[in-house]
Amino acid sequence: MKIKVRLFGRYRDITGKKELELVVNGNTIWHVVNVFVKQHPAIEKEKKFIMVSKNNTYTTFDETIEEGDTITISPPVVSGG
Amino acid sequence: MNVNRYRRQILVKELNEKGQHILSKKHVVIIGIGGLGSNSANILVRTGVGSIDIIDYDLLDLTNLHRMSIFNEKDGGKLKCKILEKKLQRVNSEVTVRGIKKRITKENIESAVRNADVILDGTDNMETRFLINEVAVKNNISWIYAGIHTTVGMVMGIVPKQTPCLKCISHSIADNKTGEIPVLGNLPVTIASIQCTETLKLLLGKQLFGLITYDIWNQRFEQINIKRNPECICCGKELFELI
Ligand SMILES: [Zn+2]
Repeated sequence: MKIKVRLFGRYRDITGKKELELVVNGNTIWHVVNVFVKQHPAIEKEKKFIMVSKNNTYTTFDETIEEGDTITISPPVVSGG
Repeated sequence: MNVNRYRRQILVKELNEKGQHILSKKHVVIIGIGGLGSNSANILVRTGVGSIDIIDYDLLDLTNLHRMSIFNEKDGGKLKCKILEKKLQRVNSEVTVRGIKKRITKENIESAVRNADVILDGTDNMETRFLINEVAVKNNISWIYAGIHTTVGMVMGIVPKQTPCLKCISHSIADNKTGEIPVLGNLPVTIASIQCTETLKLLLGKQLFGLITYDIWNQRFEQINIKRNPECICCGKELFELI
């Protein structure tokens, strides 16, 4: 299915886009993240910690999705001080 | 309280004179004096928060100076908490500033934050932040997470049982403990300023934003709504593993 993905933070710089449409073979956010990371291997290292939301609410990779949902993908939480 | 010294900020309707009086009765605890903690302490003392404890165990190092604007080269090698206490007490003698030399551990954190209205995160590691999160949720004390990396900063106010806690978003927190964290020198004061604004709003009983992210290089300000995770082992199930 096709899923609309909004990007936050430096993921916008990496892709040069605010929004993407990804073709996903699967029905969870994990599938979306995998497709996205495959296209941008530079972020493979942080894949596990990518922040995701569905329809504007933070969620986890196992959340199921359907066509029409808007997913956001953001870089992980930062820890310096 | 000398109302006159705050005249210009009392004119701001979001704060006003009533708010200023409320702030003068509040107690804030800042854990960690890095780029965030030092700048947040500086801001809150000037703003007129009644009393502020600043907890840190480290000495000032030359590599701190690019991001901690209140210190100078002469402070090198001295205890950050003690120099900060001295400097900030001179800034505002109406505020009680206490620099406390302490490395925060599971044994001492509860007593350190006992009377806090809000705890500010000035740490540079997730281990201590999760400790703060647990003690805050357990004792129903609000706290404000803030973190920085390169040109990006994040802030999230946490009101136990009302807003998501740090554990609710732990899936998105890397457990990286390696190496020095790169930070542009002018980033921390900006993120500290956002952290302090959220602190003032908390102290005045106002609504907070969710997770705020600011990229100072690309001038990008973003905010993500986050809902509490009812299954969260900390704020949902109240299983405190660290304290
Ligand atoms: Zn939680």
